[in-house]
Amino acid sequence: MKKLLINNNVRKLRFLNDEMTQKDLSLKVDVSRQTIVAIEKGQYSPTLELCFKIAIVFNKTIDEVFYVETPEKEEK
Amino acid sequence: MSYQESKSLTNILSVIIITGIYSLIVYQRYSVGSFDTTNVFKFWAIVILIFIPISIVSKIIIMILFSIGTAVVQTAQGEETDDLDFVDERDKLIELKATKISLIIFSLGFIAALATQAFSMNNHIFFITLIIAGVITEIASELATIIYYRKGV
Repeated sequence: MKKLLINNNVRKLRFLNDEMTQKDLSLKVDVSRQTIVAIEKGQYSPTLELCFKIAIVFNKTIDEVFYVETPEKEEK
Repeated sequence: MSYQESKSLTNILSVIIITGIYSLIVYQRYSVGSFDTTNVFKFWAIVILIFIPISIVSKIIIMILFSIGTAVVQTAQGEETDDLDFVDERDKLIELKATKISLIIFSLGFIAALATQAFSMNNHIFFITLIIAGVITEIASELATIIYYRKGV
């Protein structure tokens, strides 16, 4: 099976939550700000525990925050 | 450049500088005959046993200076300095991957050192190969860390 392209709505959700800063989110989920930056850029796929923590902060389910990006070619 | 990247770069520079200076001192003393070189294994045991504490103390001093320098720069720039040494799951994963790389490289270095003995080379070559492998391992591990922080894991 090919490696999944996991993307997320963290950046969007931060802005929808009173323009929460990366620092604020990092403090709430107990990681460094650099890790939040890496997650938003798609450079790091967080552990399931961190996914849950982020989803809880935004009061969303995991699939509302993280999703698998399907390449257009495969959809056809 | 992030704190972790700067830290890795500082580690690379400190390894090169400390090992370079120490090697130069040992070579100079060896050239003037300050060491008893009749027993090669005793000579290298002394050289390595002296190098270990020197290397540890020098690295601690360099890292303290680096941390102070970073904290001063961040304070001057108005950034928060509370999470400089904070380690989270991403840091641990990167550290794990870098350790894996360093183990592979050192193993190859050790095999190369053994090969020098298999080909009946001088005993000095065996220890020099091991030391070079150690330096390359440390540099590669820190470079891998920088790459993982930059490109992602």
